Parts: sequence; C-alpha cells; structure tokens
Amino acid sequence: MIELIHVEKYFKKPIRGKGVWGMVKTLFSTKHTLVKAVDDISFTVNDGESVGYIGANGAGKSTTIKMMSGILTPTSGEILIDGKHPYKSKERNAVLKTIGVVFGQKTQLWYDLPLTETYDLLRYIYDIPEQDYRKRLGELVELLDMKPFLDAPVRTLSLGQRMRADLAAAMLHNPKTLFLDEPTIGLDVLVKRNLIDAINKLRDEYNTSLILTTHAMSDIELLCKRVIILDEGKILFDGSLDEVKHMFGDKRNITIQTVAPIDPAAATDKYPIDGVASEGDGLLTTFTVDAQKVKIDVVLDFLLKTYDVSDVKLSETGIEQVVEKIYERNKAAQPQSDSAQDDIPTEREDG
Amino acid sequence: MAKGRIKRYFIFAKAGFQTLIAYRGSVLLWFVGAIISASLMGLLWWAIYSFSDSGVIGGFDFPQMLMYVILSAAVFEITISTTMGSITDDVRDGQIGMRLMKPISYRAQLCFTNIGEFAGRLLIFGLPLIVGGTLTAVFGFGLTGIKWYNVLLFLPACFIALMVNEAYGFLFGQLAFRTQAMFGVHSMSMTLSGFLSGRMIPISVFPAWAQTALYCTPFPFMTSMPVRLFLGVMTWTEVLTGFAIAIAWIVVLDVLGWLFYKTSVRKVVVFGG
Repeated sequence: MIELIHVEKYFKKPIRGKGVWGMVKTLFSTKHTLVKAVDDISFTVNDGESVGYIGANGAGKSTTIKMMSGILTPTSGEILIDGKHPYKSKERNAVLKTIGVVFGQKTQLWYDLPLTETYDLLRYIYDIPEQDYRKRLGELVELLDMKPFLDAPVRTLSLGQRMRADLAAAMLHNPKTLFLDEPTIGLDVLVKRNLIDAINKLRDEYNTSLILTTHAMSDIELLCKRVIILDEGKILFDGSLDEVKHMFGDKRNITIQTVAPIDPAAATDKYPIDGVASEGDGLLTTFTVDAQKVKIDVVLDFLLKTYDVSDVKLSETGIEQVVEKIYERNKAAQPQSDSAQDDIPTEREDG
Repeated sequence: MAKGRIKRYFIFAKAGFQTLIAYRGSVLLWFVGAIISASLMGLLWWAIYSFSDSGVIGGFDFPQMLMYVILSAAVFEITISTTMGSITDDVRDGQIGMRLMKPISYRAQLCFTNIGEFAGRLLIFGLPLIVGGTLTAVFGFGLTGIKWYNVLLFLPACFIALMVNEAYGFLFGQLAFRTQAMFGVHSMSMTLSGFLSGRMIPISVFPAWAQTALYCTPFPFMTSMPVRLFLGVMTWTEVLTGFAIAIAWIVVLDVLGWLFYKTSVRKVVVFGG
C-alpha cells in the first residue's frame, strides 16, 4: 500500500539577473526563490489498484513519482510504501525492490548488451532466485512476444520492441507497484494496444498496483479505474473514472454528417446544447448534450428532421474534455494573481 | 548474502567488458591511437636526445625513454576511466533517474563497469602493445634492466592507476550535476592529469621542488608510477611507499567524491519534468 500524507516539495531556484552583468552577479549571489512543485497532497493507493495520475506539464507528477521512488525527499509530509520511507537511505533499497518503473522516454536497459544479458544483470540487482527468474522471464517473453529479438543488442530494437523489453525489465522482479510514465508515447496504434493489453494482463495476474502518468487520456481509460488530477502541485480531483466522466453531467456527443454546411442555431435555440463543434468544411457537426437534462432521442429526432443528414454517430464524451473543464474551472476559481505553473510562494535570502 | 552482493557488482564488470568488445572499431582506433601517440613522442625524444650533449635526460637513456613513451601511451589507454563520461551522459540524457531507482549503488556500478573495461582493454590491446613495444625497445634499441618481478608488479600498479583515475573522474563528474559545460571540464581534467601524471613528459625532468610537490598529489600514480616500476628504476622502498600513498589517495578521492555526490543527487530535480 502506498500512502502520501500531506506531502510538500519545494525547490530552490536562484534569482537570475537580466543581461550579461545580471548573469555575472548571479554567480556570486545566494538569493533564491522557492518553487512549490508539490503542495500538500495526500492519497492512498491500495494493493492491486490502478491509478491514473494526470496533470499538465509541470503539475508535479514526476516530482511525486521521484519522491515515491526515493530519488527525492519531501520537504514536509510523509510517504510510506508498505510502511517504509523510500527516501530514507536505510529503507530505500527494500522499497526499490518492490517497485518497477517504465519511462516512455527513458530506458533501464543496457544499450550495448543483448536483451538476455540485461535481464541477467537485473536478476542480480534485484536478487531474484534463479528458478523464479527463469519462470517469469519465460512468461514475459511469451506474453510480450519478445522471442524474435531476445538476443539482439538493445540499441538495435525498434521503439515498440524497446518498450515491451522495458516493461518486461520492470516486471521481472515481480514488483508490488509499477510506475508507468508515458509508456505509450511515440507508439503506433497497434503496438500501443498490445502493450496496454499486456499491462492489464500482468496487473491482473500478479495483483500489481499501477500508477500511470500520461497525457494520453485513452491510456487512462484503458488501464485505470481511479484518477487523480493534479494542477500546480495540488490535487484537483481524486475519484473513480466513472465519477470523473460524469462530473459535469452525463455528456454525449451526437455527430451528424450533412451534405452541405449547416447552421446549428436551429438546434441550440430549441434545446440546451452544451457545445457545438464543426469540422470537415462544416460537413461534420458535433452537438454535445447532457443526457440528464435532455433526452438524446428527442434531440436526435430533431436533428434528423431539421437537417439533411447522411450519417450519424453517437458517443460518450472522453475524459479529455472533462479534464479540460476541470482545469478551466480551477483557473476561473483562482485569483487574478500569478497563475504560472511554478508557483513562487516566498522569496528569501540564504543566510 | 555478502557473496551475492559482491557478485551483482561483478556482473557490472562483466557488462563493462562486454560493452567494450561490442565496439570493435573503437578498440582498433584506440590501438592505432596509442601507437601513433607513442611513435610521435618517440620521434620527439629521439630529436631531443640527438641535440643533447648528455645521453641521459631525467635519469633515462634513449632506450628507456622510448620504452617510457610506449608504456605511458599503453597505460593511458588501459587505465582510462569512463566514469566522468558516464555521469555526464546519464545527467544530460536524464538516465540518472533510472540509475538511481535501482536498489544498487550508482557509485559501485560505475566503478565495477570500469574494472570490466580495464580488463578488456588490457587483454585486447594493452598486452600486444606492451609486448610489441618491449621487444622493439629491447632488441631494436638495446634496452636493459627489465626484471620479471617488475613486469608482474606493473599489473597491480596499473589497477591502482585505474582506481585513482576512476575516483578522480567521479569527483570531476559531479560537476555534470552543476554545469552543462562538461566538454570544458573534461578537457581541463585530462590536460591537468596528462601533464602532472608524467604522461606527456616524465616527472623526473621537472625541477626537484616540483617533483617533491607532485609526489604529494595523486597524479604520479596515474602513469608515472606503473611506467617507472616496469622500467625498474624504483627502489623497493619507493615501490611500497608509492603503493601505500596511492591507496591513501584513492580513499581520499573517494570520500571527497562521495561527499560531493551526496549534494549532487539533490540537484537531480533540475532535470525533472
């Protein structure tokens, strides 16, 4: 179980002067500001739970992951992974043996070694008993279809192969928790789908907790049941995926294809339509409606009767739109002051 | 338990060895580079000896000086440490986070990788270069005075040179967490160690006061000591004292490196995201 209790993380940032003289002065200055990266966050992740940890760039996601994996120490608060502090040197190694990490843009594999040698290296690093290692490696090779490139040096692998290999490397020691940071970045649709299926299978088989940080909301929908939304170091939302989807009502999209561009006013004047989006030279129009406020079939009937419709598509709104709304709401609720991602709460001079 | 712990570090030595031999082209280039370096330095010293009234410079006659330049080129290539470069790459590429997330010491990973590479370089081109160079100096130029026990002691002296280089590289490598100008740092540290270790010119040609001062630093143990030991120009007292001082310097550099490393790791945040 992972517990974060009122965790805060501040970073010191030197105040840089402007121009050449300002930069020279910075060399001899001890003045700095404090940048608040994580601001009083608390949550618990139970064993086997899958959590999507999402936020804009600089929201504090990576900082939290780094604290949970022992690279950074919180400025205040406490992080416990199965009762141990990952950032305390005496407890760190014990915690690191229970977590696995996959970073989409980094690799834990040794570039010049064949994959099998890298896994052998990891076996010793994580003290995996020989029998367990052979068994798990066999399972992972089969599940992730890695046999064709198992003896190839890592530097020769394609991105899709490398990501599968990295996932296997992260799962080799059977970690209780798997941190996934943008695991599908740069992958094509098919490889992405296969990787997500593999992660789901592994999670179910080994009851692994999953913490996923990504900007691809479709990954969250396919992998997670719970979502934590972070902005400017603060938690904006922590709840189930269904909850977040219906946070602003039970939104549906009705997309109609017409033979000529239409004027949506006829529909928006008659019904409480939440949004209209047009694409394809005005031939594809999407009406977003709240199913709790108006009956979908009534709106659909009106659209079919009013416009010259050649095709219709009904869909639920994606989590992406909801997250966007949550950010907008948060921004609107904030005072007009500095709303930069890196909040600067205090300014002080080193004594 | 302790055996397993040591074994997992030796796996890094094995990986270092394998990584080294994965690039045959680089190995060949090192070999050619060392031969070119030794040949040019040999020609330079030949010219200097031709214009010198004395047949002995800095305590070496020409065959000894020729062997000195061959050995210093070989020792440099064998004992070079990749630690500073690895830290620079890890920090620049953001891989440092992945390294630190492993339940294993980053410091020890780097050190043992270097040991593996050292073994690879010694076997692949160190031995051929030294054997070829010695045969040339002995049979082509009449070099004398090389004893079997000096040749044997040359190996631990090279290992100590590697460890000094590695600790020195780790210390300078900490700057990678603080500056992006690592090319300059690397050049500076290499020039400094190249000049002060006796790789460019033997320390024995320096003024007496400079020699005394230099022997209080870790630099002579990087090149000068293994080479002089091989040539048989050191007394037993000098050999034993040299080994003791070199080991003390390894400890000092390691402790300094460790202290800097502790503060460096906190700067990893700079490369966050």
